[in-house]
Amino acid sequence: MSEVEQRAQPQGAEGEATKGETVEGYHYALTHQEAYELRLWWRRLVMDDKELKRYSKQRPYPRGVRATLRRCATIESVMLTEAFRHLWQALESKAWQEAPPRTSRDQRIETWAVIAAVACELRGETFDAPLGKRLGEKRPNTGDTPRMSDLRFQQLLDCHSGDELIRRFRRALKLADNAGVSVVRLADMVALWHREQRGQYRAEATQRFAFVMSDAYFKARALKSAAGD
Amino acid sequence: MNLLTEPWLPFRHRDGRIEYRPPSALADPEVLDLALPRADFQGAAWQFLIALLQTAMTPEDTDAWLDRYQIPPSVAALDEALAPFAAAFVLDGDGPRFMQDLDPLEDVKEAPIAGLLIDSPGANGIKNNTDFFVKRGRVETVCPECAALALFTMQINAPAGGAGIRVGLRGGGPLTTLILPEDESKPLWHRLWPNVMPADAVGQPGQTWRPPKADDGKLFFWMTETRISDKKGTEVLPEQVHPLHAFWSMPRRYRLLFDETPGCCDLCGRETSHPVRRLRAKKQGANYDGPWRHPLTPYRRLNPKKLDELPLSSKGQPGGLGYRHWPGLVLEDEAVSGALPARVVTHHLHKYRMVQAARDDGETFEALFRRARLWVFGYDMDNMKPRGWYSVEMPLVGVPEAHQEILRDWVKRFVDLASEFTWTLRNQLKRAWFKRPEDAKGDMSQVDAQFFEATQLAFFKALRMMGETLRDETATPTLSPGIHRQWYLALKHEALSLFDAQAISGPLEGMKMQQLERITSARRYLQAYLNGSGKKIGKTVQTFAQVGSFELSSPTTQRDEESAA
Repeated sequence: MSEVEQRAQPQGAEGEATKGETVEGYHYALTHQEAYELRLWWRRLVMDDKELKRYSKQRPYPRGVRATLRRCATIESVMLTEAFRHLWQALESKAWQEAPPRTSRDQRIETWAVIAAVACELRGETFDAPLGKRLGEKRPNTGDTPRMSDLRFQQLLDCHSGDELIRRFRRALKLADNAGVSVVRLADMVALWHREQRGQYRAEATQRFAFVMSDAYFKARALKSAAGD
Repeated sequence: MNLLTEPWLPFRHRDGRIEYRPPSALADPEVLDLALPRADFQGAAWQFLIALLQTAMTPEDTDAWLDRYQIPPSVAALDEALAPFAAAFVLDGDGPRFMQDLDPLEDVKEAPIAGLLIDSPGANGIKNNTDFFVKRGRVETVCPECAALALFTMQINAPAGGAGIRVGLRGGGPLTTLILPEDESKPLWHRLWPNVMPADAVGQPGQTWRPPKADDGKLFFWMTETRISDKKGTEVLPEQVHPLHAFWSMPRRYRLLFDETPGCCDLCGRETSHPVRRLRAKKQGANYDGPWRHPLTPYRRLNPKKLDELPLSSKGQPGGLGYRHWPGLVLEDEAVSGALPARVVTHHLHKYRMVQAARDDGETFEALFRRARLWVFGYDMDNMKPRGWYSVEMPLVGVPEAHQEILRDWVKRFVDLASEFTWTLRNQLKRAWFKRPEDAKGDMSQVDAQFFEATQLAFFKALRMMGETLRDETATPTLSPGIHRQWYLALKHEALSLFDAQAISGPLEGMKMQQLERITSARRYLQAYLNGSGKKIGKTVQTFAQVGSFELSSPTTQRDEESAA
């Protein structure tokens, strides 16, 4: 994957010399700046001092910040956490200063609360790796079982509320060993899902939540079974 | 009523007005087009005017044709040229009637006039109550003008109608290809004249040219006793008749019966004092046989190796007319595919060279022939039943004879790629739609039709560039990689968007996982195929890229290869 990362960098970096290096090239629902701030925040949230030094001069948040966020099961409780406040502030003071968002404040709070609640479960990330792909990979030490079963995956696509999404995505991340997924891709899917909840579907079916997720999932599954033959 | 002097054809004028005028109005520079109430009438009326020009003022050779092309006749001059033929174009009266039997046919039962229209249900259909889509009783009263054109339409398109009911000279429901200048503001004359052939080219082998005359029974069959085909040996062969007879063929025997009760025409809506409501029709009219090659119709040999078999005229087919058919309509290829374009098209290339030569000599010719279009129209017939009417315009590319072979190769290469793409597209759509695609039945041809229609514009753009490449007579013309690449990209884009529109346009939430798996995997396969990635899947595209010598590189393919490695 590191090769891909290196390849992807120069493409994303065009005109964005400073930020391009840390953000994936294409997003369905996030802006470039949002993705950048999110990753920064997430690193400070989950990494320890030593690891974070590789990326940033900033210090990590205290451990309790993440712990409180992880204990929240509803959107409302997430909004009250210190972690969410950090994220919101970063977005508002930087990302949305440069490019004012088109959605209402209420909608944004809800979207980002869910993102925060889901993203804090991720411990380690793989650049550019979508969640669907990770879930479709073979579970270690099994014959032909994917990390997440068909049925569960279908439920994942079928969430109807933010709280349900938090629960199901956290469950999905657990099956993914809380790693091997890009935090930006993860948040991008949450934001895309949220947008579609408000009825704003993309015209191209291939750019919609259910397709993007399942395409990655089945692609990974197909690869695995091909390798098994 | 005389069809040469009466104002019976509706012409569209430059100011948009539609006026009924005699045929000679075609020489009026204000006249742009015909405006008939039916599409098949429109096509027939064009052929009627071309046939008139061809009969009344056949140019001696291509030089004479060119002179005429430069200086069109006036309306009066055309009237004068038409006058000697007046006797053959009387629709009613006691003498010979236009395209009708000399015999009054009083021994046969009268039938409704609707029988003259190809799209009316036949007697059997009415008896069995099977006129589900094309209903009976739509047309009961017809004005003499429409009746004349209906008669002409039937005689040139006549489908085989059972024992003794003869098929037209060029088969039932043939295609017609006419040459039109690109410029739509040209007067009608400039669009008709390119379809007129000189005397030395209009005939077929075995026919000898003689000036046409109104009372020539070998030109206008209706001027003499009807040729009956009740026995063997009565077939009409090309060498027995006048070279222009193909334009005035008469396979059916009819008599129109004019009514005294005035009425409203069911076709054009005009009031008329002597409408036609009934007709008499008899079996065993002229039975055309032998190697007929109507000048306006493309033919093909089913088996190019057997030269003694008769060529068949091209007909409309379900699925319509698209650029798939272009080579067969324009490029002569008797030896390999058996394609025999209409003689007017082949001769057009000859005219094109003459115009070029004249221009090189310093004469002031319009460069009109650089850009011409081919108007293809005709019925799609299932024996007696019309399935549809097609009318398409395509660009006509003229290239030097020496380069025809190359153009044919190039066109074939491009069309082949499109055909291969549709094949894969169709299969992957099936995989996305059905659990067991190999068992799925049903007509998938609409996918092909949609794909070809969507890529039509790109093809004709490529075709134009091919024509331009070949026009400069270099020794070894090569088609640039850019044109190849553009064609490939256009096909790829349309194939993917067609797949998306057909397979995943509905809501995906709530779909069964098996369905989602089918759709996503079919799409991935299609993508790999179109990108030319993978050794086996991408073979077609890789080969095309190699032949066209362009690079198959786009960011997504690079990444796919990377992660696959």
